Amino acid sequence: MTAVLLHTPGVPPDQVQTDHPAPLTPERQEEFVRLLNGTHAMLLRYVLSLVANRHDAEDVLQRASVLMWKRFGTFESGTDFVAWATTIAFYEVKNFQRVTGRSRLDFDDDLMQTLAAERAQHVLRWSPRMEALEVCVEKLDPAQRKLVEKIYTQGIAVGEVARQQGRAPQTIYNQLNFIRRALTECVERRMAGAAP
Amino acid sequence: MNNPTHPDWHRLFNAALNGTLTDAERPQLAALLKSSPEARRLWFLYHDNECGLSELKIATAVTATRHVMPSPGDVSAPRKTSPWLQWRAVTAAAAGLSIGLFGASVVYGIAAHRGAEKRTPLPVFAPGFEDVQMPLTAGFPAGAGRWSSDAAQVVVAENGVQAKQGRFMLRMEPVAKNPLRIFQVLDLRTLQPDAGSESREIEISAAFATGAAESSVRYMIRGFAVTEAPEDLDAAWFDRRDESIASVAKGLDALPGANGWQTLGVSIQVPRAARSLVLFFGVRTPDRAARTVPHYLDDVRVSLVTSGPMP
Repeated sequence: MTAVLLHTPGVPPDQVQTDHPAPLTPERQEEFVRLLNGTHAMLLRYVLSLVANRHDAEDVLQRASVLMWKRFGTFESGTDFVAWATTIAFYEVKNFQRVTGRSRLDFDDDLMQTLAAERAQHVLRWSPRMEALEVCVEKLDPAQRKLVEKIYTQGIAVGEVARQQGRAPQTIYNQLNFIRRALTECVERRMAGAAP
Repeated sequence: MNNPTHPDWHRLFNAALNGTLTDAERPQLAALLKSSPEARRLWFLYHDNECGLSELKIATAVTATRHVMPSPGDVSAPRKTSPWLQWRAVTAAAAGLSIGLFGASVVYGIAAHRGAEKRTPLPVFAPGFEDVQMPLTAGFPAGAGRWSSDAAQVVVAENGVQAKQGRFMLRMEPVAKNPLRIFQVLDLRTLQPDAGSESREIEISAAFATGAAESSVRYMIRGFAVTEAPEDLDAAWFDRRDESIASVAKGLDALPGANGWQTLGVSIQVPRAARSLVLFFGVRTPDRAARTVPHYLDDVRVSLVTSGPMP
């Protein structure tokens, strides 16, 4: 088949690949799946901090995963997969925002570059922060845990939670904001080795 | 707190996550993040927590706990067991990527590994499309117990694709419209009330195949729980889908060369107030030139998931 360029206008010219790279061996396919498995949670956190919307982040990461697969032939085994993957994900974020015209944030290129560079390092230690979060969630009172479960685990919209409880949506947002702040400060304390 | 932060930082970060930033707040947030490394670090932590809360399984009752096996490739750090929290495995399936020989087994692994649960099939109209005379309406379905589509037809084996189960499958016609869509509405009023629970978990799965594997294609399943009864959902409902009280969406990118059936599954927590569950199956072909290729749907399954006895 004739090789065609990928539809990724946000990717620098030196990174553009053909749509039909050489087939990967089964071993390389397995390596890709293993690496993507092991870094998916990290990559989602990276992308989310650039788009600030969970659904957009999942969409971007899915697109980026396809590009990673297509370009995996250029990835050298044993080198830094996270660095390679976050570079592709970053350009897919920019591509996504340009193509969809959707950005909930007014971040210019300089800020995006700064966030991406710092986040690529910061996200490497996501696992201990996750463990700290688990401990901090347990410290919430039962009503707060129940709200977290509804919003994050069950995926119930804030408006519906408000309806169930006979309250205004803003009341639920206020509770959610309080919980987020409390959890953030708790995780910071635990990561700093301060009081539990 | 070791690093005091201005209350406005938290207000701005929360507004960003809630999607409620005002036109005045957007430049404030950008300026803050540009000027302050400490604010950027807090911004990152907020987003770590946002992901983490979605990945934690918060059990509020013993009967709600479930066991999820991590995938072999999950390199997450070992975690202490907790009576409240269980790690929800994040696997390659979460990436929704189907890669040739790994295909369906990778993508469907998430649901298949969940052991101590009971799945009760829910009645779906013509789940295997085995009736060649099956009525198929255009647009959004008027009520439960029927399929509707932009353009589709029940067919036997063709283009090298054989039905996943039975003899027939649904061909989603190659039309310029992108994505191709097919709908069915389930009437949830027939479900037995689940005492003591404010929501019910429902799993949806379907098998997709393409008539030509040379192009990338994205298969999608969406589910929307709504309070209206099926007969009250009109043709314009899909444009108001943001009004649903719970929703789920999952996509699966089949790369060139991914032959055969790709099974995609999703799970949705449906609040008790929901009276209808709108099922949406879609196919998106990014490459316009490839939009002359038909795609196929078969073996649609919808199950109510309930917790089994704890081991």
